[in-house]
Formats: sequence, structure tokens, C-alpha cells
Amino acid sequence: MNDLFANYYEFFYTQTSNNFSTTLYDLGLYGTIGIVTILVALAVMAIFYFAINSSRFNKWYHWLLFMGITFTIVFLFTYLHPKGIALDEGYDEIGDNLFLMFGLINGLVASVYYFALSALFKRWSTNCSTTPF
Amino acid sequence: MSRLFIFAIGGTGSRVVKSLAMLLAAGVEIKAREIIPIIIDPDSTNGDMQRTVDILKHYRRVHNKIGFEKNNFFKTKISTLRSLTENLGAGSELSEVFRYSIDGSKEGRFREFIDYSGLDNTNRALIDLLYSNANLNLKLDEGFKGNPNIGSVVLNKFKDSDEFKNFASNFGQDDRIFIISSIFGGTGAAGFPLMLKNLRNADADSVANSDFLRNARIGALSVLPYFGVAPQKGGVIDKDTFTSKTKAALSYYKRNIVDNRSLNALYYLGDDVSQNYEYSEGQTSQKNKAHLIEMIGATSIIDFMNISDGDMENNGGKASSPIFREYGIKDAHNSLNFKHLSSRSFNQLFEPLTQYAYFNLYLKQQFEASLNEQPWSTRGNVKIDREFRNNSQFYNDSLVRFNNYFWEWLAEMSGNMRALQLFDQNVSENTLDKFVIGVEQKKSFWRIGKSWSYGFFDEKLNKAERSIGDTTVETKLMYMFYQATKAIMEEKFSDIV
Repeated sequence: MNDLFANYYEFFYTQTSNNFSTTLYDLGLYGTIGIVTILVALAVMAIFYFAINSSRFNKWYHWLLFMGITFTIVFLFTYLHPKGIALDEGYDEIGDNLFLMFGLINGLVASVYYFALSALFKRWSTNCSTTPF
Repeated sequence: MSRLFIFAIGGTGSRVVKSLAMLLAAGVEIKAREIIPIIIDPDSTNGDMQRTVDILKHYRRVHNKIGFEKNNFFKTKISTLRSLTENLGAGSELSEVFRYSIDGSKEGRFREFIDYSGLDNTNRALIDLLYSNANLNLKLDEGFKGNPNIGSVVLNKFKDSDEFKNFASNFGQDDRIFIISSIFGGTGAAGFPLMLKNLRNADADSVANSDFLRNARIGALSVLPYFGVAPQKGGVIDKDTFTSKTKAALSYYKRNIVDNRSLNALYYLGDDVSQNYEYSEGQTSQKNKAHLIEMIGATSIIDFMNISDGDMENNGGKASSPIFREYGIKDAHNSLNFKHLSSRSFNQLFEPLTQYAYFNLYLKQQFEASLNEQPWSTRGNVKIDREFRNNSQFYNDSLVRFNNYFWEWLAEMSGNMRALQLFDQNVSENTLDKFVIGVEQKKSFWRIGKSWSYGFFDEKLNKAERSIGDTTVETKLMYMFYQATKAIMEEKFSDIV
């Protein structure tokens, strides 16, 4: 799983920062981050379309708010979790800005997941099947 | 199921048919395959009659456009007499509306109708004995103004009319007839016994299916006084005569209808609590407010259709065991609501009327806001969107207009005496759970102390929309609202429905 997500993330972003990428890979963090990213997007999408599933909460801006929530959770997790592990493991030479950028990028990735999952599953929602389009 | 021909005579007849149309639109069940109302009123501009004809026209247009799988709104078919006959020529004068126009009554006076000037001296003397000068000069197209002695002559023409012949030729062995009339006025009091006589004594040589008619299962509603008329100096209608006229007519009915066993079922209805209506001698100004008695009168028609064939056998044109029924309310208050009705009436009316009233309320208060916003509006191939709302003839010219009459009907009954206040028509979204008067709704655990909202209604619509397949936009609209309001009833009145 770590290899799979490592290829994926290195293709998009982390190949430009080899030390940072190697550290994440060595610590086995790509797998955790990749799975958490997908699960968060899936969970938030499911909450919006199937748990809340409300006729009073089905406008495009409600959907956007939930995309923001996805972004925020994934950003915070991607920023804080690997940073904490890396520090615990003694990789204290990695700059904070690299974790921050990785968090932001992965937040965007989560938002894309959220969008794709929405497009895939929204048809089965009774009250939100036409949100956001 | 059989067909039902309804003869609605006079203003009261029209208003009872109006109430029946409202109940049927709401989905109140009647065991009839088809209903054919024939309104008999010489007063061609009578406000009540015109309003009823318009209501029936809109009802029919809505019914003809929609399907009835899992939808009871407008389920019962209402037809005109003309629509029963396919091969009528273009020149036929048979009415495409629901009204029978009496030949010779238009713009004529009673004097001309009986050809007074052509009578010999003996007959003229007899007429002078029976009719006053005011009677002879009465303009017939304005109604009989409380003179059954005139009505009985004029309405006898009905048996020679195209309408009657067409009705007879279409009448089947299993079809039933119901006659509605008031007993304290002119048109109804005169028309009812005449109508019955013409049916039971249908001439085999000139009337088709005369044997069917003679042995038809016939019911009637005779409405006793339930409203008054404000005094008017020089006016010909005096409410003080209502009781004496009623007594005289009842005595006549006993001798000529009850003792003769001419009817299979006779319903009496009246009320001693009443309100004076503004004085009117007919025409457009006679537009009486809808009344509880008329709605109960409409339920007598439903009751009549529930009686089995076996309980209404005829032998040689006479009922084997005539049925006589009256109606009582559980609690006699001046202002009634659902909880004052007997359990039988409650079970019959509560669910369909509440469903249809919530449907109306939604259209008035929320429809516009949810169009193009909710999935039920934009989902699927058939869309109920703003374009539909703006351009649909069905919606704008038929449904909305019918619903306006429905709303007016509820409001009028609510403001009449005795009042029937079923719904608080002034509720807002915050008080939707207070809409049905006298019946407590189940509270939501999540909305402690707060009413349910139109969001809840929209959710039921969205769910209903999911379960409908490919259909027309009109059927989709009615199906969705029927299913949504049914779901609301099941959730909010689960202890009752």
C-alpha cells in the first residue's frame, strides 16, 4: 500500500523534494495518508448525501462547505501526522514548509476525491441527487 | 361498479354537487364507475350554478389528463351527458356542460310559457285561480323565486327534452340515479317529485330503456331549511315561509313518494342553527357561501352508492324496502371541526381532505420556492419546473383554478353558520402542525416544540418522485403530491390513519 501511494504522490508532487519523499516513504506514511485521504472524502461525501440527506441542505454552497470540511480535515491530518512521526523518529531537519505544502496539496487531492465520489454516488441520494449539478 | 346519474335541482342541488366534486378531488372514495351530474336550474345566470359548472369543468379537465396508479386525487370520473354519446351531430344542442337548459324558459315569462293568451276562458279562469298576476309575469330565466307551483309546470318539460331522452338512452340496467333538491325553495321543491314521477313512469313508447328507469335504484337528498334570507321590503322570498313550505312539501312527499315507495333511499338533512344570507332572487347575485350541510349532503351520495344492490331491490317500479336516513354530528357546537364528526364521517373524510388541503397549502406557500431547486422538480426526463409552471395549461387553467375553488369552499364553510372549520388557512411554515384543527399531530423528537417545515414536505416529494416511472408531467405532479401527503399523514397522524 505504501508503494502504491508513494508512486502516486511522487508523480504529482513529492518527487521535487527527494529527502522529504524518502523520509515519508521510509516511515511508511504514504499508505496511511493515502487511505485516510480516501476515507475522509468518502465519509464526508456519505454524510452529506446519505446521512444528512436533507431538502433544506442541498444547495451547491452546502456541498461546497462539505468540500471545505474534507479539505480541512485532510490538510490538518497530512500536515500534522507525518510531521509528528518524523520528529519522533528524529527527522528534524525537514522544513515545516514541506509538510505544510504537502498538507495543502493533499487537501486539494481530497477535494478532487470528494468531487469524484459525489459525481459517482449522488444519484442514490433522495434529497441531494441534483447537488451540486 | 355502476354509473351514477345525479340530478341536481336548483341552487342547493348545485352547491351539493360542488361539495361532491371537492370530496372526489380530494380522493374520497365512491363506489361509482362514473358520475354524470345534470344540473337543472331555469335560472341560467345563477351564481351558484355557474360556479358549480365551472368547478366540474376544471375537475373533468384535470381527471382526463392524469393517471391513477397510486393516486386517488380526482380519481372518480365525472362526465357530461353529451360525452356519453359519441355520434351526436355538430348541430346537436345537447349540453357539453353539465347544465340542462329548459326549453322555452329563456327570456320568457310564465304567462308566455303556458300560452296564457291562447287559452280559452275556462282554462284562463282556472289559471287565474291557481296563479297570481305576479306569478304569471315571473321571468322564468330568473328561477322560480320560491314558487313551486310554477316550477312544477315548467320543469315538467324536462321529460320532453333532448337531455332526458339522451339520458334515458344511455341508462343501463345497473346504473343508479340520485336526485338532490331543497324542500323549502321553488325549483328543488317542485322539481324533485316531478323528476321522480317522470323516471318511474317513463313512457315505453317515447323513452328508451323505460323499463330500466322504472326499476332503477333511485336515491334522493331532500335538504330542509339550513339558511335564512335577510328580510327585504317587497321581496318575494321570505324566510318565515320556509318552515311552512317544508311542512307542506313533506306532507306531499309522504303521500306521493314515501307511501308510493317510489324511492329506494331518501336522505333528510337540515339544521336549526342558521345564518341569514344576503337577499337575492337568483341570477348572478345568488352565490351562497358553501355550507357544512352541503358537504354532508354530498356524503349522502357516497352513502347511497355504498348500499348493496340487494338492499335496494325494486318490484314493478316500487322499492321493496325503502331506506330513510338522517345525519347527526357527535358534538353539537356552532363551530365544528374533525373531532366533532362521527367516527364514520371522520374515517371517510379526514385523510383525503387533509391530504388535499396540505397539497393546496404547499402550492400556495412553497411551490414557487422549490421549483428548479428541489430534485423532485429537476430530476428525471419529465420536469416540473418553472417552465411547466409558466406554460402548462393543465396547471394554470385547470388545477390552480380548481384549487382556488377548493380553498374558497373551505373558507366559506369555515365562515358560515354552523361553521365547519377543518383547517386553519392562515398558518405559516412555522405552524404547519397546527393546520388541521382539532387533531393533534405527532411531535418530532428532533424538533422539540417546533413544527415540521416545508423541508419535510419536500423530502416526501423527493422520495415520491423516486418511485414514479416514465409518465406524463401531469400524472407525475398529482402522483407526487398524493404520495407525499399520504406519507405525511402516516407519519404525523400515525395513531389515526
